[in-house]
Formats: sequence, structure tokens, C-alpha cells
Amino acid sequence: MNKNQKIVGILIFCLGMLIRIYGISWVPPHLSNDEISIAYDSYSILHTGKDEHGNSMPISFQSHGTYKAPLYAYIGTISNYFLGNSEISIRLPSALLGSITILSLGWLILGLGGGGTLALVTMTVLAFTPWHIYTSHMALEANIALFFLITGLACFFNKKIIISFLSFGLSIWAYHSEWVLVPILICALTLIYKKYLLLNKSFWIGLLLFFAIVFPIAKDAYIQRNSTARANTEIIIKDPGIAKVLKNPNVNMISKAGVVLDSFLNNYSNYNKLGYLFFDGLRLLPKGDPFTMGLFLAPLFPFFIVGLFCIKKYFEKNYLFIYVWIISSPVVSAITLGSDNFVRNLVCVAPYCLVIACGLVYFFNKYKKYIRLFIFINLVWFGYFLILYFYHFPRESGEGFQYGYKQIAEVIENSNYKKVVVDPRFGPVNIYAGVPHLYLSYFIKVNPLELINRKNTEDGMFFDKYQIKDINWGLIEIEKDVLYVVPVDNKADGEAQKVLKIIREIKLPNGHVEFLLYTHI
Amino acid sequence: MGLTLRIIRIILCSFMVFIACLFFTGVLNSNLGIDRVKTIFDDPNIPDSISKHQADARYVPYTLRKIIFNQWVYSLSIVKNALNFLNIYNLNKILLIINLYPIYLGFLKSKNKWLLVPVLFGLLAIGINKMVDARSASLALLPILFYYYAGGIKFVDRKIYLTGLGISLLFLI
Repeated sequence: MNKNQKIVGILIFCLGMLIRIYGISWVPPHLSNDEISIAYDSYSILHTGKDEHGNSMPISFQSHGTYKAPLYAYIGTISNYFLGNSEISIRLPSALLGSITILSLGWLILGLGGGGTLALVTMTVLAFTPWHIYTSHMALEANIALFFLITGLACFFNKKIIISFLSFGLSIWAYHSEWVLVPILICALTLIYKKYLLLNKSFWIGLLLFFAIVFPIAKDAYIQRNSTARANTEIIIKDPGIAKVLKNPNVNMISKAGVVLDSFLNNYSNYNKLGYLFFDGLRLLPKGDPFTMGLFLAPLFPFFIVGLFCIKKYFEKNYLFIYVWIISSPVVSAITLGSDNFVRNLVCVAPYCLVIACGLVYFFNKYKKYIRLFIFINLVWFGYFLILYFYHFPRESGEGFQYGYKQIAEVIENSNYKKVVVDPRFGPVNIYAGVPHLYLSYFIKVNPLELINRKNTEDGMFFDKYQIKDINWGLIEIEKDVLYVVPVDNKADGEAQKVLKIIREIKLPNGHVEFLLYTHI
Repeated sequence: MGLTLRIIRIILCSFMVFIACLFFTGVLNSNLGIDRVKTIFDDPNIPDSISKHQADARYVPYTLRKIIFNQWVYSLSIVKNALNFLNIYNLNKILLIINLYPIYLGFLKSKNKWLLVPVLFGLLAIGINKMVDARSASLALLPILFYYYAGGIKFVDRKIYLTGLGISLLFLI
């Protein structure tokens, strides 16, 4: 890379970082279910050394009936120490590491032998990819795992083998998808580059280091079967239809294998549908809205197809590994239930950016005269994404992010009620159950020991001055100096209506009322 | 063959494939009537979204909103549906995924590359559908694909092709 290319690379990185950091406190409009779980665990670990459930320095964090990988919660303690309890505090590590991923990917392309121009184009594609911007704006384990994975590969191909394995190990600490993908990639690397690696001392030291880093996770997963609950519940064979076939003694083994393979291929195919990748995969708007965006900018789709055919041209020595990387990246998502989880499938963003970049370089080497038109079209499309992402998305998605609990916390913080009773339900006809205990404890900064020592009884969850329970107005005894928080579809009725007054309505960003706050008249 | 004749040939062939695809997907019925219910033009989500965004997007003047949020979204939906149709699962079901290899080679070696235009028209007809059955929708495209396949099969690397065939069949079973 020459000096000018380095300057351009730094500019791309800075632009990418700006887009990833701008507005992280309000886009998405509220911390999601998973984000608050990580945020609270970081806060709790920082102050008590224990997670929400009282486990000391856990290796897997229990969360909403499943288990989270540990690294984000631990990284979050650093930002929590400096920035306190806020959206910025918990989302910043993801935004920063997401931005550095752009640099890592550029470095990887150089290491793979793609050259400066291809590295810059790949960095640009990633920097302006809606998929990666979205995930970098959120506290997502998948996003930091991607950083460690790409950095690991970049170090490997730039002959920093020991650091490479350290980074691979950390990616396994960061997210469950990497538990499967990283070993596949390490095996592929070992097989493809065996002549160089097997005689290299750094490789063996790196491999030992990798096993040492991964050992606690593997041991924990083995000893505490619960920590593998995620793998047990989310794998495709748990799909009711497939499970029924597998349990049927009258179906032979070949047919059973066929059913599983068919389901795998269907999932794999769904994650790679071009329409999904370039037109409607990123759910910025409600389902069915045709104005939504793809994971990548739509005008890039022809270059993805062209790129698939010219990887060998740009990576003569390493094309085999790149094809293995492209093919194996969606495998983990494909063996799990559901077919459009773009967070679980985030590992694909880097190889797909590489493919698009190959297509772009190939095409514009031949047809230079169209480059301005191409840039113009993509700028317009990116502008459209910015409008959707920073304006429409926060307005449309409030409910999906349990919007309102932070606002409720602000009301409680500025008042002096002796008790607060919160109905955890929300959404139309109260179909969803939220986690208000985490949001309120985090934003009000309740002593984490209070939540660790909470009591769960038939009458709900009790901690500090809070009670979390489904409120039935006919059965509840209304007390003075108590705040009642209910979803809008559970308005006070009967006798309760006569003695209660609404002191505040909590509205979603689109103006719809979501929660009602009542006190005694 | 003169240029005009060639253009007429492409147009005729494209038109036939387009109509055949509409027929096989059920949009065009045997009385040559159009079953609008099966097309995206009957999807209430699209006009609803257009009017919703035209009202909501107050950050731009109303005239501009009508330019950003209007009927052009139908073309996006058509392209999206057509691309989604070309997924690995469907391709394996229709022609076994490995056969894309001889088809690609056949296309590269063929003198009749123009046959790609009718294929695109076929995909356009498929994109107009809300939901299609992969096998019946692709019937009209198969002759062209077989033509390229026949042209390309002799150039394939047998080892790669047979391995791929085995894997494709495994998934088909």
C-alpha cells in the first residue's frame, strides 16, 4: 500500500467510525432485551463481581432462559466504569470494535495478497454496509466476535500467527456462532497451508495458546450442561416437524438424514437469497413494508455475482481458503432454527464484502467510464438508508426494543414513592413480557445486590422497593404513595379506576401510548 | 441474419417465455384472463406503505415525498422476488445445483448468448408473482437452460462435476 492509499484507508476508517458512533444513544431507540441483559451484567460484575443471578465471574451468563457468551459483559465493565449506566456506555465497545473491523478487513485483504486497491474497496464496502452499521450500533456479541475473527485471520495472513490464535480464542469467548466456525476455519487453514504451518514453531505455540484460551469455555460447557442450553434448544433437529420424523421408528435412517439435510439446505439457501441480502434482509421497517433495505446496498448485487467468479484472479495463492470461508460462514446459522436472523449470520458480512469488492474491481477495471454513475447511484441509495435508519427505524421499532422502561426509570428517579409495582407485559393486548427489573435496576442504578437477593414469589418478583407482577385490577389492593406501571392495554378499571389517577403516559417514538403510570388520588 | 431480424427474434422469444412463465405460474389462466390475486399488484401492503410513508416522512416537502415513496417500489419487489427465486434450494430442486457449472460453461462458449434475454423476461414474470412453485415456474426456462447445459457439459472437469453431482443428489434425496 502506498502513502496515498494509506491516507484513503484512514479516511474510510474515520467515515466508517463516524457512521457507527453517531446516534448510538438513540438509534435503535432503546436498549433491546439482549442489550439490557449484557449492560446489566456488566454493571453488576463491576460492582459486585457477580452477574444478575449471583454467579461469581461466570464463563457463561444466564439470560432470558438461555446463556450468553461472556466476553461482551466483561468488556462492558470498562465502559461502565468510565461512562456509567447508559446506552452509550454499553454500545460503545461494539461501535469501536465494529469500526476497527474495517481496518482489520483491509489488513486481511493485503495479507491475502489482494493488493492496496482491493483492500480499500473492501474496506469501503464494509464501512457503508447497512448490515454492519446496524450491528455496530448495538451491543451485540456477534459484532465483537466478528472483530476478533477478522483480526485473527488478518494476523494469520500477515504472519503474526500467535496473535492470530489469541484473537481466534477471544472470538470463541465472544459469541456462540464462532464455537463452530472458528474450528472449521482453523482446520481449513491447517489443511491448506500444512506445508508452511506444520514446520512453523509459532503455529504450534499459537495452537496451544488457542486451546488454553478455549479450555475454560469448553470445560464449562461440558461440566455445566446448562451453558449449552442454547445449542440444545436452537438446533434444527429441535424443529417440531423434524423432531417428529426423527422420533418416528417407522422412518428409516436415510429418510431421517434426508429430512435434516433438506432443512439444512433450505436454511442455508434462505441465508444466501440475493433478495434477502440486497433488498429486504435488514428489518428497519415493519415486516411486509416494501421500502425496507437489504443487508447490503441493492446496487451492489450484480457485483456480488461477478465477484464470485473472479476471486481466483485476485487471490491466486489463497483463493481456496477464501472459498472455504465463504461457504462455511453461513453453516452455523443454517444448522439453527429460524431463517432470517441477520445477527447470527453476521460472520458472513466480511467474506461477502470481499466478494462484492472483487466484482467491483473487476468490472471497473474494464468499464472505467461508468464509475461516476455507480458512485452516484450508491450514494443515493446510502442516503436512502440513512433516512430509513435515523428517521423511520427509531419511530417504527420502539415496541420491539421495549421502549419506555428507560423513560419510566427517569420518572421514578425524580420522585419518592415508597413502592413501585410494574406490570411486565406490553404490546398489543399485552402479548409480550418484558424485563423491567433489568431496565429499572440499570437506569436507576439500584444496588446490584438488591437484584441478586430478589425474591420470586407467587405474587411476583420483589427487590428494593420494586414489585414486578401481572396486575389484575380486580384483585390488587390499591395503596397510597405507590406507583403502578401498566401497559396501555391494561387500563385501571372497576374500583381501582375510582381511586387512581394517571400521572404520566409513556409514548413510543411514533406517538402511540405504550405505558400508563398511576398513583392514588 | 440482419440486425432487425435478430431484434425481432429476441423480442418474440422473450415475449413467448414471458407469457409461458405467467401461464405456468397461474397468473395467466387458460381463458387468457389475468389472475390479479396471484400478483404483487394485489398486495395491500404496498399501497398502504406508500401512503403511510408519504404522510410520515415530514423531513422532506410533500412533493419530494411523492418522488421517494411511490410506485417505483413495485419494480424493487419484482427484482427482489426474482432474485429470491434463484436461491440454492430452488436451483437444486429444479436442475441440481452442480448443473449450473455446465450451464455457465455452455453460456460462455455459446454463440447464442442472446437467449439470456428471454431468461430475464421469464424471471420478470416470476418476480410479478407473490409466491411461486419453483418447479412449475421454471418450466418455460428449462429449454434454454438445457441448451446451454448441452453446450457446456463436454467442457466440464469430470472430477469436480461428479463430486458436485453426488453432493447435489444427496441434498435432493
